[in-house]
Amino acid sequence: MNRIRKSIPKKEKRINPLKKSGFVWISIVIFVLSQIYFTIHTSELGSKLSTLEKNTLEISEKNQKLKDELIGATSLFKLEERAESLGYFPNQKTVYISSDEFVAKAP
Amino acid sequence: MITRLRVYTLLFIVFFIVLLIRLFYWQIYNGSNLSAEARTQYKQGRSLSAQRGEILASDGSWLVASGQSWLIYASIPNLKNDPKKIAEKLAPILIESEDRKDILEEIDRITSLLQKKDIVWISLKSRISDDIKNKIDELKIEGIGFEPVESRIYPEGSSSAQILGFVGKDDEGNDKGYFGIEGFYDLPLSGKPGFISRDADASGIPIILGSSREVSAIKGVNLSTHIDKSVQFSIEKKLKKGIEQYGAVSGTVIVMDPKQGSILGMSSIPSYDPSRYWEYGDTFFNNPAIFSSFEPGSIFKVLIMAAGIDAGVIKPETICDVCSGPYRIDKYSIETWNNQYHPNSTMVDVIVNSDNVGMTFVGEKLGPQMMFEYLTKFKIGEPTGIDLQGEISPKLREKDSWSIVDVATASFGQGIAVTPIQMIRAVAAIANGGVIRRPQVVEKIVGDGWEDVINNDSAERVISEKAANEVTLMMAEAASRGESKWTYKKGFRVAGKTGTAQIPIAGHYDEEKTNASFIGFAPYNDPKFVMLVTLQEPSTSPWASETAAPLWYSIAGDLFTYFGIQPEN
Repeated sequence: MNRIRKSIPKKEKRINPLKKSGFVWISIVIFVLSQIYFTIHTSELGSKLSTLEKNTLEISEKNQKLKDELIGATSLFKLEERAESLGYFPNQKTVYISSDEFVAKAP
Repeated sequence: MITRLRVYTLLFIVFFIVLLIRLFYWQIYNGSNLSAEARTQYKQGRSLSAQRGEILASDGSWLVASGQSWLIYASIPNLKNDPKKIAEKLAPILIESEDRKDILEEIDRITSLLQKKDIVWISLKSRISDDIKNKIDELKIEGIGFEPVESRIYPEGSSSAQILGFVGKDDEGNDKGYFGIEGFYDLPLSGKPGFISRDADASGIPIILGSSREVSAIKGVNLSTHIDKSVQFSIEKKLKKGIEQYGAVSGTVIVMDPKQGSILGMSSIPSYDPSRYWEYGDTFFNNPAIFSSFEPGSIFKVLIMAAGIDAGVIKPETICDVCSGPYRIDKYSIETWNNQYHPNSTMVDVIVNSDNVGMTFVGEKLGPQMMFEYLTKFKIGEPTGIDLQGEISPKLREKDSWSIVDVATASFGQGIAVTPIQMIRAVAAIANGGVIRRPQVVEKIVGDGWEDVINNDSAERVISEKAANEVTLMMAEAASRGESKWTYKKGFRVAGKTGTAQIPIAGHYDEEKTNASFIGFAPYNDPKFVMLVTLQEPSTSPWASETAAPLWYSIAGDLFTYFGIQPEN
């Protein structure tokens, strides 16, 4: 049996060197630009985070000052001083009345 | 050409080898040191302090709040001026005093700190206020800086100091609660500090893509107490006035809800300012209400009478057949406080007249064994378990070691020691129909979005309700007809008893000094409060009826109005 050998001619694929290097350069440029963008973006985020932390601290301090004022305002000793300065004084004598007794009556 | 190429190759190889050696030195040989040094430049790490929980009154207002103060420090290498000159500027602001001597001492202190060698950073003073910080800021002294530190704010000043305790430092310099609520609940109040570690650039701005690790701080829980600010305010003011008026050395007032065991108010004088605790001696820190033992005297009689009635050995109408004169036990003669004797007194009369001989009669009827059993039931001799740090409990005499003299003296409250909190808990059992409860200060623990009520499930029956009611009526008679009747508020259902006890000193009783007490509750048919007033060594009169009793009624007058207690008629 005769074997017929067929040789298939090879097709040479040739990529244009200009296209190849262009692709590489574009990739490099995109990579560099994205690196620059992300670097700027992350440092901006870091800066934002730092600003937010400072703001939080400032607000916390203001909040603490308001709370201090509120705490001071709830002090009974200070309240008594203030009441006395306004001319109020503690009850000296309590009068108890029965429920059927008139306290005030229109004439 | 070839020679030049060889030379270049050789140079390149040499350069490569040098580079390798250098890299080996940097990365392998000295790598750990250099990386550690680098980490100090870009790593930011600090602990996140956990805010300490707050202590609240029953109306939700603050008894103790967490605030912020400042620590002033000096960075020694950055100081540009002479230490003495800096100290002269700082001292008058830091010392808060115009006394020349104090200022000079402060200047010396600061100067010596600023002149210390071989240190970079030193604390000059802690817990300074915003105002002081601002004043120092205005001076713009180079090398002087501030760090925020947590502080405790006491809106009522020294009021309730001995219930609250204070926050000091432990051996490692961390905040720690001592005494009172701060000491007892130190762990839940403290919370858990956190930690943050991350990369940052030279200006301190965080590097988002760098490594970062954060463990959040857990804030301490808040404690909501039963302390009623209005009650506390009243007893503080009245006790202070009472001590001055009656010339007493010290005094204690406790107000308690007998039904729940809740402590509504507790005050002792002398006291201290918890925000400046370091200016006071240790003796001020212990709360006399739970730490000082005293012989209760006649206020103890109601417990023995309750025991006698509950045991069935006496009834209110039982006649005392030994009350006609002094009563002899062993080699001792038992006398009444005023040397007046009431033959054939009923047990009601014994309480009304505060008759020591009549009580000896009750003691003998009970006998040592039953007396011991009832005192144990009333929890005399054991800590109350109140949620305050620093409670003590005087020991009750061993069961088998009670002599007839011990039984006799204990029956009128001498030769036996209690703390004020033990005494009020026992009498609160009578007010509560014979059921004893553990005194409790904190009502609930409050976290972020949750709260846990601390149930007081300690109720135990000590005496029958009938016995409790009978003793209550006897106490009501004592209040309206006893030696303190002159100060009795007519119409109000008060059950009370005075007690004047001699003070034991080195094996004998002091001839002149006494402890004067009054314990009572109102209205006796549905008590809203039970209150104990005790004054140590009053000088205007040794008798409780002339010192502790009027002070009790003076405070009770405020409480009647506050609790809406109306007179009978």
